[in-house]
Amino acid sequence: MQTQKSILSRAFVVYIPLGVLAFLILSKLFSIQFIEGPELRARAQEEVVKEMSIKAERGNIYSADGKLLATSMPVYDLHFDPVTVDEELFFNEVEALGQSLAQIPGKLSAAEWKNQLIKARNQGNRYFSLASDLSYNELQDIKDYPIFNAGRYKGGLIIEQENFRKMPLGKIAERTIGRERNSFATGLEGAYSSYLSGRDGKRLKQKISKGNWKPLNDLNEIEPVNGYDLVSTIDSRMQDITHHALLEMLERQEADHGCAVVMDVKTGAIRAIANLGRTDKGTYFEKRNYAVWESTEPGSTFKLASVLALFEDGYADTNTPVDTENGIYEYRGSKIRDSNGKGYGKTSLQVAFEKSSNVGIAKTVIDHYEQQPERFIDRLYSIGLHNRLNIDIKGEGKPKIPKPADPDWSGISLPWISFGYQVSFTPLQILSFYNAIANDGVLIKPRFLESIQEHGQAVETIEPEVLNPAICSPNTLKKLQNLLEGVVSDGTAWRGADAVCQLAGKTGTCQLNYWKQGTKEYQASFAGYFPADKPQYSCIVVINKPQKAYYGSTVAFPVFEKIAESIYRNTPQSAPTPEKKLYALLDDKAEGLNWNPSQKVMPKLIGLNGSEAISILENAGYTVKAKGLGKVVWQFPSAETKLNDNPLIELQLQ
Amino acid sequence: MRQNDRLFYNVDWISILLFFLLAFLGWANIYAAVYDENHASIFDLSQRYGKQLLWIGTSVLIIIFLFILDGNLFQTLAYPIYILSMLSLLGVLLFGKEIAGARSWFVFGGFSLQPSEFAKFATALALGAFLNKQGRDLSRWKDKIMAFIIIGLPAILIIPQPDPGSALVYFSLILVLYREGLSGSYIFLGISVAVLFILSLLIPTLYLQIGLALIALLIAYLGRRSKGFWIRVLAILSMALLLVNSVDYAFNNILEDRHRNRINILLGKAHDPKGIGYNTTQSMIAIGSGGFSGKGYLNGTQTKFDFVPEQSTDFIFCTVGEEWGFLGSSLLILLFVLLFFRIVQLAERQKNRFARAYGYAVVSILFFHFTINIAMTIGLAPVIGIPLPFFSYGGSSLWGFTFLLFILIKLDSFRWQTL
Repeated sequence: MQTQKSILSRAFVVYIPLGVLAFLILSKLFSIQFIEGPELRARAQEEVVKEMSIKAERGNIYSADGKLLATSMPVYDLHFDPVTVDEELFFNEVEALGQSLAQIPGKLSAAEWKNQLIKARNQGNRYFSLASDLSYNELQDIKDYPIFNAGRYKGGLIIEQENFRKMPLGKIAERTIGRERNSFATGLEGAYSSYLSGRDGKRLKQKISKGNWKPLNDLNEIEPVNGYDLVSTIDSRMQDITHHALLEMLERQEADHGCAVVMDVKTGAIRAIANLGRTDKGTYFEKRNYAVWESTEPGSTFKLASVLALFEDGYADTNTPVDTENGIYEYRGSKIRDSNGKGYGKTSLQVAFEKSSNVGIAKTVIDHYEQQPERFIDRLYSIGLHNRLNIDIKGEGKPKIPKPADPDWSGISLPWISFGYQVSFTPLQILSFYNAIANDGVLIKPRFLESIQEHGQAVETIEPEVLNPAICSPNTLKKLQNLLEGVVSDGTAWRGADAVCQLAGKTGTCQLNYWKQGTKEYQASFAGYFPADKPQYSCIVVINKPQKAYYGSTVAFPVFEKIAESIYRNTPQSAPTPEKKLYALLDDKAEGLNWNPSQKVMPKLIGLNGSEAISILENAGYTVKAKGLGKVVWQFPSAETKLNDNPLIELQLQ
Repeated sequence: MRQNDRLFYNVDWISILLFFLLAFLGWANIYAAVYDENHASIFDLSQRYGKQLLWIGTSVLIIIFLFILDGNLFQTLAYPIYILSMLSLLGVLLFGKEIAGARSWFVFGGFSLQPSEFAKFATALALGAFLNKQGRDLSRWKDKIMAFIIIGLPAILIIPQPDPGSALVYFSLILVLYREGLSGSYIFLGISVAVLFILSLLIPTLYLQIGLALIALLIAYLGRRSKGFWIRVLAILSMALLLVNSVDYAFNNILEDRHRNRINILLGKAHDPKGIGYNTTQSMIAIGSGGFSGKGYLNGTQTKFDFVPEQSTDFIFCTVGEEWGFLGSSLLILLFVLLFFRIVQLAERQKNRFARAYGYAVVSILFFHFTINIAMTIGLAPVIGIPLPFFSYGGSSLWGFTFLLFILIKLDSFRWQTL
């Protein structure tokens, strides 16, 4: 009886934990479904309905002449999940798939593909990379390959779409157009990314099956705002001319790298910028933006600044006599040499400049500034060359002009600076200086952007920015211009004397790494502008480490000359390339014209409606000769010119 | 002897009905969990639900086979089956194929078997046979130790696969020993160890030690004032302290980070809905989103779109929760509880100790699986990966449970003849 009771209670004890645990489970279940339920339901909703972003289209970049320089297009990246493919299908067809894949150029052979695919399957790699950056057509072909044609789930092909930035004109000006990726942004793409990228939209999507999402109609949807287009200052024709002129010389000289930049004198617009670096195979490509980035000792092109200082201080004039001795001048234990090895004897400062005599320039500078080097340096600073240009493109090299108080200033710094050593500038900085000489002394910031557009209409137009309204007196300026013309007509660049238009500029030959024994590496350069009498474009050519010759006159100047001649020949002289051609659709209103005829100054008419411009002038009593129909694209006399009593006024309409 | 010719003579139709209800509901829910428009046929043998139907079909063959056998055979073969099963557990450690990091499977061509699923009924049989012998007394140390060895051996062989979840299952068999006369203090001891174990993970060791010492002082003060009693209290205290410290040591020095993380998340000491706790979080979201009556069959979004990992196997319960709601889940739990009560009833009406002990072993094992499986899908227990009996996808587990249950049904139908 006792045992019977004990056994029954034991059975009962077994029931108790059963009941307790079942109760626990039920109450937790109750809690999940009713107490925590609402929150969990919300989370389930969250997982099934997702806010997905709709990518905004990135804006295009156009050249000033309306050509497409950069645009976005979809490309496809392909991966393969060999594990998902049925075993039989995989091993039956892997050979055939390998043969098909071998058609993708530049990748593996059929046998290699086969091995790689089998290896990926064995290793359980479910994301095996097949190819990237494929076009839509290429993708369609690959979808028909064996195994892949088994369909979306069984074929194991994983397709991902990406937007790819394409440069339809090829790789010209690639470094300047630039690139933007997550972490780095270069060139125009980087500088104006906020304009180009637009704003992504948002849309609710619902998961409808594995990996598929259906857009939900929802009032909260945010439309994507596509990016603005950029119109760069680059002119595709000038860029082409510049690129090929530079490339030809680099190849001939087997130089390490070089750059050539063409700038519009009045507006600072960079019309062409080529940066070419050499590969191991001896070919050239847009390697780095040397023109913007590479700060080096400029050499003789900097003599222009020294002469500017001398003229401004009134210490010398073009005819000031100079003794270049025998081409060697020893100053404080350091020998200054002329490149011809024998000097130019007793001559004038003008000849010393035109022939690029280091001795001549250095001696003149020493004569006047030896006791007061600060004054010389102050003059250089007053030009404004010590500051960065702060151009839009990132990575501008910092200019350097040492001061007498600096620790690295030595006894021989003054003469060496006078012919362009111990100072450092980028090609673009030197070009801006020469451009200022051509632009009647106005130093303008180089710019790469003409306007920001949306649907072909300008949202923002970039205006020229003056960095220094007068780098020197008009008197000095005239003399400097004469000197630069003299370099081409009688000086180191005499070969350009009979070019199609008159050229002006200065050669530069700079020994690189001269402090190392036995190095014979040079940087040849030429900076100048054309046509000399009515400067339209300034241009600099810098070639680094040429192998066959090394003088600026024989390496850099021919490139400059070629660029100048080609551009000059291809640019209509009577009606310069219209500045605002692209936004011709927009009619500027004449109301904006604040012109008082009694001041007898020519108004700025470009951009106005032609008939309005004519009526304004004729109402003021002037006779106007107009050609064409439409807007004013060219005027003579130019704006702000004083008008005499009966001037000849010409307008070109378009 | 005529009765023996009839295959289904005297079988317990209630258990059989409950078994088939659970198996077919499981099949339907596996279909919902794996559902994909491309393979809509529930009989598609390339999909899990198709295969599960195949397992159910073969289970019927197993049932018929078991019913054909002579009822006495199970007791006779209990030890050989146990030994064979232990050898298979040893063999899988040596020759098994490693799948998802565990060496738990024998693979023959496209077919795989998990011996640990079959070791369960083998152990239950051996335990029954052991207890059946005249004169067995679980208050005697010799018999106690032997019984623990029978239970412990498969667990020890399964742990290194590694499959700690399946190994834990065997400890539920202590319930059988309790029913057959093991002192209740062992159950108390087991619960005390479990509580101390959890407390030592939750509370800083120092506080726990001080707390234990205070409790011991209190008991010593209130209890009998004899030297022997004090010595016993002191001994128990030092055992408890040793346990606390070794748990602390094991947790910090022996367990790997992933185990530590799981335990910490379960204990509420860490929160990580995207990482380790992902399965449980997703499972709770699925169940909770079902509400009272559920979203309807094949309409569960969490279920269909693969948010919950392992949904057709260990997490099948959340498919029920999402698509059938509280109502459906409660009904499922009710079905299981009914089955358990029925099995305990069957066990209690057995005439010999072998069949009774076996019956208790069956309910212990099934109950442990059921409790831990559902508790882990609703976040009450750690994710240790054991299937829901008869319900989860998997041939080995379904077959193993079929053997387990139907041997009992056969023994039950046979109970008058063993006298």
